[in-house]
Amino acid sequence: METTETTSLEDSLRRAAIDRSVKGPVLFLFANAALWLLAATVLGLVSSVKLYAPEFLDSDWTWFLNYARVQPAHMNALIYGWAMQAGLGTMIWLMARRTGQELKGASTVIIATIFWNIAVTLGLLSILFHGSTSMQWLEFPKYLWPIFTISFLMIATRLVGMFARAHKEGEGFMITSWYILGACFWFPWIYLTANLFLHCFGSSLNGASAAGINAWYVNTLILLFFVPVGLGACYYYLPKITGQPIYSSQLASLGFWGLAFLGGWTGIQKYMGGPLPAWMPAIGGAVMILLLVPAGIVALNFHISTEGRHGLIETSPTLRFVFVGSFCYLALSAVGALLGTFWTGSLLQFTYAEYGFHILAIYGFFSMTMFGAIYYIVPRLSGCEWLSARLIRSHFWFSVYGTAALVVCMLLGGLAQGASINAPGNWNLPFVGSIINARGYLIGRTVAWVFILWSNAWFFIHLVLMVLGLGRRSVAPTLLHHEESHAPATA
Amino acid sequence: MTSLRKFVIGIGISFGLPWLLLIVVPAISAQKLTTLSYDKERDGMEGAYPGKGIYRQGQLIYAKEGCTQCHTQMIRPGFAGILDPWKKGWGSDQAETPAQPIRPSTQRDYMFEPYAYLGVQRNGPDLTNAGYRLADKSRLEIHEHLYSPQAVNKWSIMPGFRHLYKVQPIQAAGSPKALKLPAAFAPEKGYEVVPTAEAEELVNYLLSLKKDAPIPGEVVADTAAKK
Amino acid sequence: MNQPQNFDNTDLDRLHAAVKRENPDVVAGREPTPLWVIVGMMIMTILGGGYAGAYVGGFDSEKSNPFIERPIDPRGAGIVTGPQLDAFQLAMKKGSTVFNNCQGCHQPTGLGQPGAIPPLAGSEWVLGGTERIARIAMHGLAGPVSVKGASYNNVMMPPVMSDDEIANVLTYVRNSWGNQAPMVTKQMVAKVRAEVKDHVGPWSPTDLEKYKEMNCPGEIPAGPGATAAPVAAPDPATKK
Repeated sequence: METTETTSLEDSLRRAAIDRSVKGPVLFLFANAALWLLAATVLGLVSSVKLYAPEFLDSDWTWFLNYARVQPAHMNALIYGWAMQAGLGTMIWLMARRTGQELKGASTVIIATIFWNIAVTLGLLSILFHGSTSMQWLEFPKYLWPIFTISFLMIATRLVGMFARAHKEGEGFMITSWYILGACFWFPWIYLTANLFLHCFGSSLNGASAAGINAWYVNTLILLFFVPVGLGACYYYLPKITGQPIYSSQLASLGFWGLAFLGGWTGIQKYMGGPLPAWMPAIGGAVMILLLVPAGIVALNFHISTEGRHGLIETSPTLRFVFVGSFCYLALSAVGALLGTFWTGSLLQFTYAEYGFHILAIYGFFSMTMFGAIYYIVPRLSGCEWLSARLIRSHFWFSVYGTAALVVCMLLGGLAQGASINAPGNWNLPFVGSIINARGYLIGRTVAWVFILWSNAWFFIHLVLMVLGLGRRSVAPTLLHHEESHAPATA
Repeated sequence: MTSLRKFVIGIGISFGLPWLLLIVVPAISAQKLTTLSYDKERDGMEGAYPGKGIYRQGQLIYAKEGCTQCHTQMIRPGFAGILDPWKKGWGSDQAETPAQPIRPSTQRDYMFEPYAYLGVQRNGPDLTNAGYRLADKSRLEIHEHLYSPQAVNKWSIMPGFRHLYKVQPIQAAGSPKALKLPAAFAPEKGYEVVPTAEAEELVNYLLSLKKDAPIPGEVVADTAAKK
Repeated sequence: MNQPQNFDNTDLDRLHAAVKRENPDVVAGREPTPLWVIVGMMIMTILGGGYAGAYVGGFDSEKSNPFIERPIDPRGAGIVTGPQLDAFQLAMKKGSTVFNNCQGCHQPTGLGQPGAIPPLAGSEWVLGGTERIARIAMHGLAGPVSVKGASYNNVMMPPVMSDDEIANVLTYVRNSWGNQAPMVTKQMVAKVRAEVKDHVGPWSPTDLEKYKEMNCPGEIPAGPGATAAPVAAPDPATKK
């Protein structure tokens, strides 16, 4: 096992300099992201109650709190408010560290972040009070997409520049950088395509085509932005914390290019049996099955790489979150394949199961991985350690219980809902049956969001204290177990 | 070649291929779809398929209110356990036991609208052919359903779109457009509920949702008579 | 790289401590892909390809339904579809089932039993005012009557029937065995029932005398059967 560097004074000072250069933008991104996470969780809680008790919070002055407005607000806050910003912060730190470059022009990034957050605020207010575009995950008003695109590009160009400066001719293997770089290219491409086709060329498109492009956007955002950024973080933190190298670079490469070649074909299987040409959802479903291959490869690689060091999950917060996140990648691939084909997905089509899949991807996989990254990165930027191991532990467990309950309830509830709508005996019955069959699972969904709200509220407070520099002044990291362990003190 | 250049080419090819073949090319060629004509001899009817589209003004209200979160607008074929073609009231034939299963939606059905609101979830009935289903009801009944769905079906979880309606004091004999609501949902004495222009447009749109015209070449005898 | 010069003393220790305790970056191993991963890839490709092959619809962009055959109705045997029966035909169909309760006395031929049970075929009671026969079907008849010139003196006790059943059986009886008369609807029967709701026991013929020519008011649905000349009344001889 060769190492490229030892922890010499020079190297650690260099790393400290890199950390210092990204401190402002990354902490700003993380703080904003955590605030939107809290907002998204509250909105998710409200929308989950509205599904079985529409009279909840239903007065004249809360007229905008109906499910049709709160649900898109919840998803958009989760995605554009929390997930993308947490992702961008992590991307910046990871790319800076992996390329050994300091971030130049931190103020540009901060300006981009400010505009990003203004756009998210305007967009959410618009969804709630004016109404949405009803295009899934593109419900923000159509004048906002240029702001998001430009802000993203302002940050992404910096990352690409860092990569270009650092890696000249075929220099070694850098899977994390590839994933981050991929995300830098894929997101603008996907986002521009969807917004240009739906908002600019929209008036001349065939309606069904437009709906297909929307469904493609939803899936490719998950597979070609959230998955790469999450996996990039996993590939960095697992060897970093366990001290063991990634088992096989060939497997990692296969996993990456498998995702790259397959990811763009998915999405339209959401409308299988629908008005689009049959080959589109068929290809989408077939590719979802094929995507089990890169997922399995990545899981295998992670498993073997960390063999013998699984005990570190006891102490390291980052490793705990990243471990759960990486397991959820396999789970989300499996659920995606389940939902994508006529063989298993026809009853689950248009049910809560799709929401469960989305939450598994954005919360179970991506958010947990990002939490792990944040727990690692923030002490290095703020110069103080996390205040309380108990808060971290409760954040972890309430998030895990909440997400697991949410995903399981939504998958089972979706099955109950779909089975009821499609039961031959129910052909002439009103919709009350499917509502009653799924009600228990919807209540489970609310309970899950309560758990998640509890964990995220404390996370937000904890993070804000750290960002303000009010953490523990210590050289020892905040680990989850205070007993002496033989493992080196890593966090 | 630098690492970056190789990488960008790799991404360009691997993503560019589905981008072109799945998104760009089909979208452009779908723009060129034209209507099909019925053949009097073969189909027993005349005209073009599809006849006309939906009421676009009202569709903007439908989108704004977020109805796609709970209502779909596509009929799926009856295989793999799917019951869409036999759901009562989901097609043009509103009889107790319709003679034919409802045909699956095709791309031409949506050619007159720039974005088809195919739907996110099915928490409520499919609305592809809601125009036929609502034809029996009066406009006031439809408004009542939108204003307070629980007044029509007490188990309903549909939100009430009360912000699309105005509560105004009753002048003289009252407005002819005032909704007739049961006591639990009616405004206080001396007030009536009337629809705003947006609500009227939404109802016009719902009544225009008729996508069950038969496909030329696949016309079944008694569906021709129904046209 | 040069040593960075931009630290002040208070920062250095803290930042330095955090990065100092980090593990060094390690290069990834070069293990080759295990064989069974390749096998797994092949299996998934076959599965995925199989799915695509089955549902891709020949890559025909005109085809949005990938299934070739016609779907089979999964709802079970009870659902009768096909050309719809109009209201009259439906009433005749249902009425003949209800009449099974009456044929014990009035006979399947509608001829009754001479001296005991009056006939229905060609009967002026059946073809006359529907107000009268609606009341009889509801509560029965007791006392001497004259039908088609013959006299009968008996008690008729019909089974308890709903408005729908009464309407259907009256329609059936008025249009069988050569009879032809406008149908009776459920709404007409309901009106009668409202009028007589306090009545108990069978009617006597004298009570019903005034209804001899009175027809129940009400709309008869449009269709061939609604007129006095139905298109095809079922011939009881061919009926089982």
